[in-house]
Order: sequence, then C-alpha cells, then structure tokens
Amino acid sequence: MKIRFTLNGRNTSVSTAPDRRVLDLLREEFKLTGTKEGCGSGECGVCTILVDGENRLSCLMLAGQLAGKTITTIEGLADGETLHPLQEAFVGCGAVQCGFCTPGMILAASALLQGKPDPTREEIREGLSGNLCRCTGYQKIVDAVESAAKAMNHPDHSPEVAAIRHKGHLR
Amino acid sequence: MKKVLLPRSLIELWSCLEEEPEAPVFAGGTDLLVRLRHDQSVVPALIGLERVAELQEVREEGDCLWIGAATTHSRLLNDPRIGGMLPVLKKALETLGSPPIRNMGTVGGNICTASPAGDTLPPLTVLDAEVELSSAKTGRVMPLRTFIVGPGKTRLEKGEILTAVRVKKPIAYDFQYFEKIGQRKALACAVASLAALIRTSPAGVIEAVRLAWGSVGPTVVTAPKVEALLVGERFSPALLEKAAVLARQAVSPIDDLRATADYRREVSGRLLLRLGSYHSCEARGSKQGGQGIFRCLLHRPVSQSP
Amino acid sequence: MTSLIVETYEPSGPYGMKGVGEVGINGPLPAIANAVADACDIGITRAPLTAERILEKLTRRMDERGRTAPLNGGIS
Repeated sequence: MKIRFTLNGRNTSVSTAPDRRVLDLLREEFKLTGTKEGCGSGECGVCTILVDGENRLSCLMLAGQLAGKTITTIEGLADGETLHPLQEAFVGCGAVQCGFCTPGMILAASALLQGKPDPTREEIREGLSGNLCRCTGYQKIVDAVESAAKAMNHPDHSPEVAAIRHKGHLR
Repeated sequence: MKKVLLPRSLIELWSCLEEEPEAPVFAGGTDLLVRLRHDQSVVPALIGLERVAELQEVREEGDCLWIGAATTHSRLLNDPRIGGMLPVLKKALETLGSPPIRNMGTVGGNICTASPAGDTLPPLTVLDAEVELSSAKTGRVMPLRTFIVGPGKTRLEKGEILTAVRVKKPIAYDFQYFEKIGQRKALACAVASLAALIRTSPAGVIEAVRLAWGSVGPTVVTAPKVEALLVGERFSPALLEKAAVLARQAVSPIDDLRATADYRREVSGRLLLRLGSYHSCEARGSKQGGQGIFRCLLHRPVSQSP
Repeated sequence: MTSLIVETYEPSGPYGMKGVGEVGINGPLPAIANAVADACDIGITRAPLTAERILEKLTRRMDERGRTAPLNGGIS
C-alpha cells in the first residue's frame, strides 16, 4: 500500500504494509534511527515523534495512520547544521547521559514549548512525564528545557547557550 | 498483513464494518495495539475511528454535554466547557496516562476498554453519563453503569460502536472531587480512585452526594449506603470515619502487582476521610498554611450556562 | 550529598573499569528511610518506600498506641 505524508519537511511516499508500526517504518525504511524502541507499549516515551505538532508514540501507531500527516522525528528538528535551541540546551546543561531517552525528551519538550512557550518547572515536569530517563534524575533535563525556553523567548539571554557558543562547540 | 481502514464518516464506517465484520475497532490504539502484540489470534483488518468527523467534537445539547467518542483526552482537557462544568472529569483526565497517551487515547476508548482502572469511569459514573451506541441500522442509549458489565466486558454488540457519551451539566452539585492513588504521579494505573459530587446547604449540611470508586472492584463501585449515611449530616472526622467503614465493606478489590487487596480496601476508606478536609477548606476559601494542595484538588464548577 | 571519586582497578571489567551507576542510590536510600523514621517514628527496611508499606507501618503503630488515624488519611 502506498502512503503519502510529510516527513521532516519533505513530501514522502512509501510502499509498505499498512499495519507496520510507524516506529519500524521510520527505523528500517527511512533509517531514522534517532527514534528508539524501549518498552514497545506506550510507557517509556523513547519512540516519541511529532504528528501534526503533537507528541505521539510511534510504537502505538500503524503506518496507515500516517497518510496525510506531518511527521517530525529528532532528525528533522535541527536546521541543517544549526541545532534547535532545545538541542543546544541539552548539550549545554549536561542533560544527556546515556542518550537513549534524549530524542524523545527533546521532541516532547518541543511539543510542550509549542503550546506553553514559558513553562514553570512544574509544567516542564508534567509535559515530560511520559518520557522516562534512568540516568539523569531529570534535574538537568528540566534545567535544559527551562534554558531553551528562555533562549527561544529572548534569543540573546541564555547563559548556558552563550557559554557553549563561546567555547566554540556550536556554530 | 492486516488492512488498516480509516473511514472519514459514519457512512464510510458502516461500509467498512460490512466489508470486515471481524475487524476490531480502535480509536487511539493505546490499548488495542498493545494487546494485539501479545495476541496470536489473526484479525483480517483493523478499523480506526481517528478520522470519523462526527465522533470528534464536544457540543452542548440542552442541559447535556455531548462528547464524541473519538475525542482525545487532550482535546477534552483543552476544552473550557469540560474544565468549567465537569471539573471532576477534568481532574481525572489530568491523571490519565501521560501527555502522549492523552494525545492519542480517547474517551470512547477508555469506556470500551472497560478496565476496572479506567480513569474516566468513576467521574462519568457520578455524573450519570449515558452512552450512545450506533450501528448501520439502529441507535440506542443506555446508562454507562449498565453498559460496562465486567473487566473488559461491555454490552456493545457486533456491528455496533460507541458514538458518544452524554453528560448532564451537574448544576445540582456545588463541589466536584477526584483523587487517584497510583504508584507514581504519571503513567500510573490507579491503585484506587474516588470521584465525588457534593451539595451542601449554606449551613454546611450535606444535601446530596454521589460517590464512585475505581480500581477496587470488577467495575466502578458505587455505595448507596455510604451516600445515605452522609446526607443530612455535616462533615466531621467522626462522620467520615463511619462512612469509611461502610466504604471498605462496599468495595471488592483484588491483589495485583501494583497493590494488595488490603491496601486498596484501606485507601478506599481513607480517600473519603480526605473529602472532609478538602471540602471544609474549600468552603472557607481558606488560604491557611499547607492547604493550597487541598484547594486545587477540589473544584467548584464555574460558568454553568442554564 | 558529597561524592568522592576513588581510582581503582576492577579486574572483572574491561580495562579495569567498574560500573558506578547504581552506587548513586546506596547513600540516599537509607537517608530517605531514616528521614521517614524520624518524621513518622516508623522503621522501613525494604525498598522502595511505597505508600502502601508506610501506611501499613503507620497504621500498626497507631493501633498499638490506640490513636485514631489522622484526618488526611495518611496518603502521600
């Protein structure tokens, strides 16, 4: 079956079984392996993708459901070589340890900031509550989202991002 | 390979069901797709309701709110009519799953899955919700209480789907309350939950009360004896202790990996004890120390249109 | 919490490496259990410190002392 949808900004058409999990389609067909499989049952959030801007779980979606939708994976968040402010902030704040949860965390955070550009720490925790991290203790992830929100609202005033820019880690 | 049919209207849905009468129907897929992974039975097709236009809205019909079955939990949470008129439902939706689960899962799915722990079921029960069932040929309406008959069992017949849930605007109640005990704050299956609607007189006498517990029986548990005990009285620790004893007799919990039956029975009563403290501080509008948490748990409905 | 890093050689790990992930909970867990003991006068000796285990001990302690449960139900 031919399925047409928009993937990371590009019109895409793929022939696949309609009951294939979106997670498998993205990883195997499109080689977009930033989307991970964790629990496979909707409890961990590592397979998070954005569907028409909302964070959803690609392990609980079938390929047929993609038809006509706009999909963003972690690979589609950066603008070429320029990282998204959330990605910069995760690097700058040390919000990444093993990194397995990071793509899902960042996509969930981006959906959160879309609706709430200036969230409180409690709202950030709530917004990321569908994404599990077994390394960081979440503190630095919340720091990173807070810092990214500041950077996105006031592009010149994010100390963490300014610091890594200064070190030359980012272009 | 299974076909995945995504009809865009009820008319299209009926022809899909005619073409594939054995196909399971799903909305968000957050329960069915997990189940199918572990299920060896072969189904020829799946029918998704996510694009059926008629099932995706909330509208006011006289003194009722009509909620389309395929409306996602997130859309309900963002609908000011739900927060304004049905805070007991809103509070339950806030505790349901996680943000991505709420972006996918639907109220109709939560009802048809008929889990003893379904978070929307206790609030919809105290609200006397009715379910609207339709098939290609007919339609019928029945109370949610009679629709769910056991864990995972409903009175839905072959070829029939749940199209909507209808809830009367609960004008007759001043206070709405929902609390869920889970092992975590998010992504937690309820160990026990309590939904309550309460009306008190200006003097503080309980005039009417509706109570429903989740996760402590095969379906939602109601306890007319507890309600009868409370009516005509004023909230006091002694009254609620008595009510808690009756509540523990009314529930029939089981042991599972999340909690023991004993603990579920115990907290079924203790949830009632908390009702009094929430109610009294909300009634006083108190801002005294440490009571902020009480006030956010108990909601006075606002903007009730006639 | 203060961490002290001590260099060591672990023969069972590649290149003498030692996993340190779970070491992080070795101190905090008893500290939290002791905080609960201090606040509620109950000793919990099993992890995790679930609401169910705490309530069970609290209830037993109150039964022993013949006091009624607090109004808030003791649910955390």
